[in-house]
Amino acid sequence: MRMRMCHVWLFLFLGSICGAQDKTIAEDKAFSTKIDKIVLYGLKKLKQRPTKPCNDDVFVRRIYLDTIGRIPTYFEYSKFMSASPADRRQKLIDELLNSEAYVSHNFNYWADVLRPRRVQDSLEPENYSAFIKQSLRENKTYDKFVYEMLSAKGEVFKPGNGATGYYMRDAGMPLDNLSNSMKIFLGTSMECAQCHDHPYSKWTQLDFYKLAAFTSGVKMNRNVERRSKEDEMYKKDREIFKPDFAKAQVFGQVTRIKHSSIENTGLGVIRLPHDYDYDDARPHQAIKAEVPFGPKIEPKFTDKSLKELKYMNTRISAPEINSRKTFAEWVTSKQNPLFAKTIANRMWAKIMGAPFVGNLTDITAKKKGVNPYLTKELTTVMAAINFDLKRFQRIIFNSKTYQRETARQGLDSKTKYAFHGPLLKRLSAEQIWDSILSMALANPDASIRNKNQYGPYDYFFTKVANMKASDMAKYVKDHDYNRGTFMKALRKEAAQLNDKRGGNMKLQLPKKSKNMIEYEKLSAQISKAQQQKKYRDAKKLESKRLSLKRKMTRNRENVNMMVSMKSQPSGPEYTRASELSSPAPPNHFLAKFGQSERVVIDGASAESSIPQAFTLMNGKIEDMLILNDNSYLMKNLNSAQKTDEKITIAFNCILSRKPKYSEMALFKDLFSRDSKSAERDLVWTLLNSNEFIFKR
Amino acid sequence: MKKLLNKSDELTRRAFMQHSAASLLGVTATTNLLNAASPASKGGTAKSVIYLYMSGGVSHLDSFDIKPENSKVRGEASALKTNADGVRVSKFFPNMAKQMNKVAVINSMTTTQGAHAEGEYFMRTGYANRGTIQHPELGAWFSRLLGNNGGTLPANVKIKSSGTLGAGYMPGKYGALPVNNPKEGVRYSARHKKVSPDMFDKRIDILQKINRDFQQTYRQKDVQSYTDTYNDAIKLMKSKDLDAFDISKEKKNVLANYGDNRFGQGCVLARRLVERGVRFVDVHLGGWDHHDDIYNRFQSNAATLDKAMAALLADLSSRGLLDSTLVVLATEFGRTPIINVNRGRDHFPKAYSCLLAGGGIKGGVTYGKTDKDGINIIENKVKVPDFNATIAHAAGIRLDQVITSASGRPFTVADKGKPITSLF
Repeated sequence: MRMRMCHVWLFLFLGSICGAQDKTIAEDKAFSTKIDKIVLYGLKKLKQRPTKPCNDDVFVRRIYLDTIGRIPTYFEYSKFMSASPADRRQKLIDELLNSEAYVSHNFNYWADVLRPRRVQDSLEPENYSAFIKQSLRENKTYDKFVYEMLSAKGEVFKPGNGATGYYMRDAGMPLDNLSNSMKIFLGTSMECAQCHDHPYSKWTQLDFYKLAAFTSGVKMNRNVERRSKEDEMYKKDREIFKPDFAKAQVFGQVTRIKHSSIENTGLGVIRLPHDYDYDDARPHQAIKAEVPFGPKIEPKFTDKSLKELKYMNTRISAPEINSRKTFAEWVTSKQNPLFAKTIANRMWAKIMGAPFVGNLTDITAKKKGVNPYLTKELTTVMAAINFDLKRFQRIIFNSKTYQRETARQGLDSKTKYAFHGPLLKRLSAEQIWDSILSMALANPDASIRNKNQYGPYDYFFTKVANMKASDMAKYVKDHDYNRGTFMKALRKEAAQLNDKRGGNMKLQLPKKSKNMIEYEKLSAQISKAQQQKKYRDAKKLESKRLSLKRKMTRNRENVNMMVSMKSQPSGPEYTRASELSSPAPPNHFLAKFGQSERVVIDGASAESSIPQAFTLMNGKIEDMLILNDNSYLMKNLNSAQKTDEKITIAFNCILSRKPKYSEMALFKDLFSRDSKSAERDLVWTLLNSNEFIFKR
Repeated sequence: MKKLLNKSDELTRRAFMQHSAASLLGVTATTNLLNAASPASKGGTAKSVIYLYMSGGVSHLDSFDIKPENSKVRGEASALKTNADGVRVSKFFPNMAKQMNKVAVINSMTTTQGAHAEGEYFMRTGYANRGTIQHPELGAWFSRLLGNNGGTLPANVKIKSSGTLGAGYMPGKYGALPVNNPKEGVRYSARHKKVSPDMFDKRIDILQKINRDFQQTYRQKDVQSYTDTYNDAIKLMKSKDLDAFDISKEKKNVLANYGDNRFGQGCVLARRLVERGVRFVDVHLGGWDHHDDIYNRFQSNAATLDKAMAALLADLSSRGLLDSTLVVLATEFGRTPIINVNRGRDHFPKAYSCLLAGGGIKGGVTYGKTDKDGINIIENKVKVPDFNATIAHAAGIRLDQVITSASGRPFTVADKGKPITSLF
């Protein structure tokens, strides 16, 4: 309580003298500090101690992985290390959070939750994916993001209307979709109650159906026959195409792209299933929408919807009353005790490695977690900053709690985990893939598109949006497509359009500074003079180099060896995971390392497997990184003359740290025997090490 | 029934936890304590399953449920006599005609799913596709409940280039080891060609030294599991077992007998794997979705299947492996009896045919019947879970054993399916 009073005074004070932005910074600092205090208090109660503050090596690797999903390149690592220690962590956090690569990484994360994938044979997910990416890019507040999905309606392939993908994803399974919504957005696991009273918690099947009444009626409609009333041509043209199977199929796809839409704003009433087996209601009985907890709100029932409650029937014929909107309002309301708590829990777990309460999709309002004050504070902060997820992450990244050494023990340990240090985590499939790019390329982000990209269907939608059935039929007649070649053509055309629209990040490649070029020139002259035994000249040059080095250090310029890159390769194996079509096929690198199949919520896996070991030991990495003198890693390695420099660079590039004394000795010994193969072995072993695949 | 469902068997769950703790790592599975010699199940004699999956929906009327007397529906599928009395197949299966004495034909399959993805999901898992859970495929159930037969080979292999590895809600290690191309074997299981054996050994040696510090600092399950997996992978690379994946070790005429195509060679690989004790091998053949022009397209697919499956059955039998190997031919649904305007047949979930052979299954018999039009089942309806229960039963798997998903929901191998015991 006293802490909160402090807060208020602090804000009042700061608010009067600073601008709005400074005020936010001050507020955030206060939040971070308070979270730190509460974590320490919780640890003290458990008689535990926090780990030590982490060093810059650990920090830089961790923050790159947590914000933009990959390890830093050699250039980025060196740049950070030579920046001013006073504020370089805070500055880096801001820089990374505001980069486009933030969208890339967080898309991978949210795609695992929201599961965009092809459904029902050929409904492509790109428009939905574009919605997720755009929301991250704008840093749309989370309540708005969720509201847009839950209340979405209209054409699913209409560019800009990708929020409809949330319902399309579970089309034909409205009850499952509701279960998913409750799990994702309110951390409430009700799926058992879909078919029977929940065995372990209080939810009854009736509770579930009362909720389901809000979204009752929602469906994916692509019924062309119904529309034929509006446009007689449909029927005729279908007749025309019938004997030509290929064309009829293409015509089917064309109309499907144009008309697939999420319909019905919600009926607010639903009928119980035929096998409803409890005493509180009867099978087929119609019931009203009602929320099981949180603010009591109900949709605006009309007389007709209430009349529906009186009849027994197998079908429902109530009018649409916008009850999905009511549901969306209830879910995202600040008064809903679980909305802020669920998303705070999720973001905290993403960063620290474990949720502060329950598990991500199964908490309750009453559950308090290992540190009840922390649970309360993080939930409060989330609502106080109006569900600004970037800001929430910034607060945590800047906390001492986050910037500590990794906990030695995992969740499998007997001691209670109360966040004495972030947990050790295996990198996600996408993080591993993208981290390999950080070694192969000087700019691993170059493949990221910072504008929304068209998928084949949403691209084609723009073409057919204003076409009549007769125009569409003409299109089909004029093109010699079958379903397969039609799809291929759309993909190609969409890709061409994307290329034309641009949106690729500017290809910025590391360049040497003037001083650095001068520095290298001097070094070359020195060794030449030494070879020619002109020692006096060499000494002069050395003192010149020393003063240059001092100047560079003062300017915080990097004096490490650094190579300039003029170009870099592209193609699917050099493309960030977020820009590839996903989920990847089962033999793909990403699938092997456990990329989510986008089937169930949080379906990604971090388990080890033999194919993973095979891939890292014997796979393409040898060709792409080790045997390829043009890989960014090998360029840097080859630019170094001395053995210990090479070893240091390899450690910097792969593990983002300096080698330990014992490691240096081990590899020096290896180099002394056969330096050519030693270079390859060095890179191979670090890449295959446990440390590479884990985030500390 | 519902109320029963709510109480999952506490003892079973505890036993399962112990089991999973014992076999946490890698593919080197432990023997299963729960299923070994369970008195409750008699079942068949299968130790392994070769599961041939035909995606797209095979026309029952053109394969194993022909109606040559009915001009309305028979199409071009005239009848061939087989080596089993009273069993006929279509003219597209001349090689299988000589093997039908080993096969039980089920002509009364029926499914509730009329779309490909959902139909295949139902066949492979025994459960209808839901948005809230991902069910494991039969291969994962076999892997989990039976483990492997010892050695370093995995229990579950899938020869297919798309789809999932089928672990569902079970831990990923029960999913299949994927083989993309049977001629390639397991990808990257051999040293990189620019790495000599000495170089490889040297690397492993350094790797172990480099890892030591990390492993000592972080004594955690996940880290240990990576160390163990690497050790297993290296062991497998060096073991003779890996030979099992190398079909070039087969004689030329054997390879030719199965047919020189992915499916045929996949069947060769499947036989090599079950010979070494792999529990479940899934071989896939697509392209059965004949909505149009069926009689220009059905033949070639049928020829591929006919040649490979007949060779497989003959080969297994001559090697004495047919008793211990159940061969399954499955598909998601049948096709409409009436030929459509595009000279094709559409999806028909109401009735279709699947085959079972070996593993203690009676050969030369048919089970179930459709009416004269191939539309309605008039005898011994077999639902998808019944079919999967029969497969599990053939391997002596207990159908009532409950496995609990991470979300706490109880499941059994074939849902509520009942095995067709009269086939054994």
